[in-house]
Amino acid sequence: MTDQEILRADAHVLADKVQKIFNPGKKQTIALESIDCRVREGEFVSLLGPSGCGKSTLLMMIAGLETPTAGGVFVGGKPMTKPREDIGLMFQDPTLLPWKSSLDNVLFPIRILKRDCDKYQKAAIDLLTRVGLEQFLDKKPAQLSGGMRQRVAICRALVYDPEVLLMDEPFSALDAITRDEMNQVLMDLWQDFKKTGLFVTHSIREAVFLSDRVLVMSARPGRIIEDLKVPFERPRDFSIVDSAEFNEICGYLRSKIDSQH
Amino acid sequence: MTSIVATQTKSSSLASVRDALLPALLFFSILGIWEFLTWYTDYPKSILPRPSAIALAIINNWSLLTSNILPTASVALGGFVIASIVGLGLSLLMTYSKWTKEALYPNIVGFQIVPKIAWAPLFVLWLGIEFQSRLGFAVFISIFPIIISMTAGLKNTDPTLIRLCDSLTASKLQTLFLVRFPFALPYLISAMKMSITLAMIGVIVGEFITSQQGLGFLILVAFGKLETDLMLASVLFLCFVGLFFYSLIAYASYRLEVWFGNK
Amino acid sequence: MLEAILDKIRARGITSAREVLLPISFFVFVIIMWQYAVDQKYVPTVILPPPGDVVAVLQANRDFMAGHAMSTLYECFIAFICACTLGLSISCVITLSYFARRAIYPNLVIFQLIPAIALAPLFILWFGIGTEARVAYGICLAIFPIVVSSSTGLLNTGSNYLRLCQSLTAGRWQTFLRVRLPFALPLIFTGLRIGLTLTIIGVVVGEFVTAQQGIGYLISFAASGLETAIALAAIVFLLFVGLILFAALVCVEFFAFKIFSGVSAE
Ligand SMILES: Nc1ncnc2c1ncn2[C@@H]1O[C@H](COP(=O)(O)OP(=O)(O)O)[C@@H](O)[C@H]1O
Ligand SMILES: [Mg+2]
Repeated sequence: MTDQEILRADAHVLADKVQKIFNPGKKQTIALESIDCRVREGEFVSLLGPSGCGKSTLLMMIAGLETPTAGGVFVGGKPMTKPREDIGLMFQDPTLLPWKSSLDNVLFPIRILKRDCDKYQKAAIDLLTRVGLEQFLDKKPAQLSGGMRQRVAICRALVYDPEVLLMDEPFSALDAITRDEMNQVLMDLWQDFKKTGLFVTHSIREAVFLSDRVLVMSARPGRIIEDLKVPFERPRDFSIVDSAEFNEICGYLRSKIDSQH
Repeated sequence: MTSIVATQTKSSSLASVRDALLPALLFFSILGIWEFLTWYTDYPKSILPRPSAIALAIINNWSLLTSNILPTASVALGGFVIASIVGLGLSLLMTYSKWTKEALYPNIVGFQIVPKIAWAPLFVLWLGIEFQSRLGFAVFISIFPIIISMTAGLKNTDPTLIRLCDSLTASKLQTLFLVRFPFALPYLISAMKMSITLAMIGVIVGEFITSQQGLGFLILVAFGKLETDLMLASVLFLCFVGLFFYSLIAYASYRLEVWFGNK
Repeated sequence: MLEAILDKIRARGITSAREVLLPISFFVFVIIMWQYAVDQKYVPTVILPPPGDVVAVLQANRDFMAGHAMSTLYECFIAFICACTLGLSISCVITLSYFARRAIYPNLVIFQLIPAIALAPLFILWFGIGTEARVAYGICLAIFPIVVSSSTGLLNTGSNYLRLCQSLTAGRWQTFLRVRLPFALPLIFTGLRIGLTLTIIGVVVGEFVTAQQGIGYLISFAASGLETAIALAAIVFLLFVGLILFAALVCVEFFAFKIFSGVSAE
C-alpha cells in the first residue's frame, strides 16, 4: 500500500487538498483554498466557522453535487464524481414536500431510488416512532411544528440506510429549546445507527455536545485552523453541558474563532 | 363560559349575515332604482332596457340563446385546452433546454408588448370565417399566460429540494414529476384562470369581426336591430358560460390545494 | 413583462453576450425564414407578405399611419387617466370606509366576471361612434382590475404594522398615507399595468367594431381588403403606441416608489 492508499483506507470521508473557485476568471470567488479533512468510519465530526467561509461548499463537494477545482474528495475510498446512494443529506430547511404526509416524505428517497416502498414502510414508521412522531404519520408538513419537520427530515435522511450523513446547519432555524431537543434526538439516533457524520453548525455548544471531533475553519478562503478531540464518553447525557470541562472546551473554541477577527 | 361562546357565535353569525346582506342589498337596490327610473322616465328601451325587460327577453328568446351557447363555449374551451397543452410543452422545453429558453423567452416576452387583440382580423384573413379562425385566435391569445407562468413556476421550485433530489441520484424525469411539476401547479392554476378568460375574449372578438353563430354574433345582430334587451340577455348568458368555466377551474384548484395540504 | 426585463437588467446586468445574441439571432432567423417562405411561394403574399413589403408600406404611409396611431394613443391616454382616477378613488373609499367595503367589494368581484368585451356594441349605442364611446369602453374594461388590485393591496397591509400604528395612536389618514399606501404600491402598479393593457384592448376593439380612425380601424379595414402588409404595418405602429404608454407608466412607477420610499424612511 502506498501512503495515499493507507490514508484513503483509514478515512471514510476524505477531502484531499481540495480547492474550490467559483466563476474562474476575472470575477472569481475563492471559496476554499486547500482543505484537508478526514472523518473515520462511525465518527461524528463538526465543522465550525464564520458564515461564507465555504462550509456548505465543502459539504456539497463531499455529496458529489459540486466538483472541486483542484484536489480530490473520496468517500469509502472511491472518488466522488457524482451523487451516490451511500450519502444522506440534511439542510437548514427541512425541504419536505408540502403535499405529502410525514410517512410519504420519509419514503420519498425510496421512491426516487426505485426500491420497494412496502418493504421500507416498516423501517420508516419505526424511525418516525423513534423520534416521537408516531401520532403524526399522516400529517402534512403544514400541520407540524418546525422541530417536528426537521425530525421528519432526519428520518428521511436515514431511511435508505446511507453510510455517511452530511448535515448543513440542520438546526439553525430552530429556537434554542427545540434545538436542544433535536440535539438529544440526533444523539440517541447516532447511538444506534453508528453512521459516519459531518455536521456544519454555528453553535459551539452543539458542536461540542454532538461530536467526537470539532474542526474550526478560518474566514474565506477557508482553511482548517483547529482540530480538537472531544473527550466525553458516549453515550452522552445532556447534563454534560453544565460541566466545567465542557465549558472550558467551548471557551477554548470560542477564543480560536475570535482570533480570526 | 357557554354563554360567552354562545354570544360569540351569535355575533359572528350576525356579522356574516350582514356581510352577505349588505352587498346583496346594494345589488338589488341598484336593480330596483334602474327598474324604477327607466319606468318613471319612460326611458327608451333601445338604449337602456329595464331589468324586467331583459328577463322577458331571456324567456322569449330562450331557444335562440341556448342554441348559440355551444358554438361560443366549445370554441373557447377548445382554444383553452390546446393553449394549455402547447403552452405547457413549450415551458417544459424551456425549463430543460437552456438554449431554447435563451433564444425564445425574450422574444415571447417582447411579443407580449403588442396588444394581441390587434391580430384578430388577420386570423380571419388567414383562417377564414369559419370556426378555425376563432379557434386559432383563442389559442394565440390565451397561450401566453400559460407559457410565462409555467416557466416561472417550473423555475421557482425550491433549489434546495432540487439539490436533495440530485443527491438522491434522481433522474430529470423523476425530479420533474415528483417535485417540479407539483410545485408549479399553483402557477398553472392561476395561469389557467387567466387563460380561459382570454380564450373567451378571443372568441367573442372573433365573433364580432365575422361569424354566423355564437353569443357574440347574437350580440351584434341584436345591436343591429336595436334590440338592446336581447343584447344584454346574451351578455348575461356569456357571463354564465364564463362563470361555469371559471368555477370548473376554481374547483380543480380547490382539489389541488387539498392535495397540497394547504386546506 | 416590461418590468421583468428591467428587473433583469437592474439585478445583474446582462451577464453574457450569448444572452443578447441568442434571442436576436432567433428573431433574425424567423424573419429570414419568413422571407424565404414567401420567395419560394410556400405561402401566398396575401396571407403573408414578405417583410420587405411591410417595411415599404411603413415608409410609404408613415404620416398617414402615424395620424391613426395618434388617435389611438390619445384615446388610450384619456381613457387610462380617467380609469386610474376613478379606480383609485373607489379603492380609497373602500379602504377607508368599512361600510363601503362590505357593500361594494363583493359586487365588484361579481362585476369582474361579466365579459366586458361583449359590451362593446352597448357603448356605441350609448355614446355614438365617436371618441367618447371608445374612451368610455376603455375605462369600463380597465377600472375593475385597478380597483380590485389596489384595494387588495391597501387592505392587506401586515396586521402588525397596523397594530404598530394603532399603538402610536396614528389616525386613519396617517395610517393610510404612511403605511397602507407605501405597502400597497407594488399591487397598485400591478393593477395599473393590467388596466393599461385592457385600456388598449378596449380602444382597439372599439375601433374594430366601429370607427373611422385609429389603428384598430386600419387593421380591420386592411384585413377585410386583403391588404395584409398594411395590417402588419399597423400592428407595428400599435406596438409603438403600447411602448409609449408603458414607458410612461414605468416612469410614474419609478417616481412613486422614490417618493414613498422617502416618506416611509422618515
Ligand atoms: N454557486 C456559487 N457561485 C458563486 N459563489 C458562490 C457560490 N456558492 C457559494 N459561493 C461563495 O462561496 C463562499 C462560500 O459559501 P458557502 O460554502 O455557502 O459558505 P458557508 O456555508 O460557510 O456560509 C461564499 O463567499 C459564497 O459567496
Ligand atoms: Mg452555509
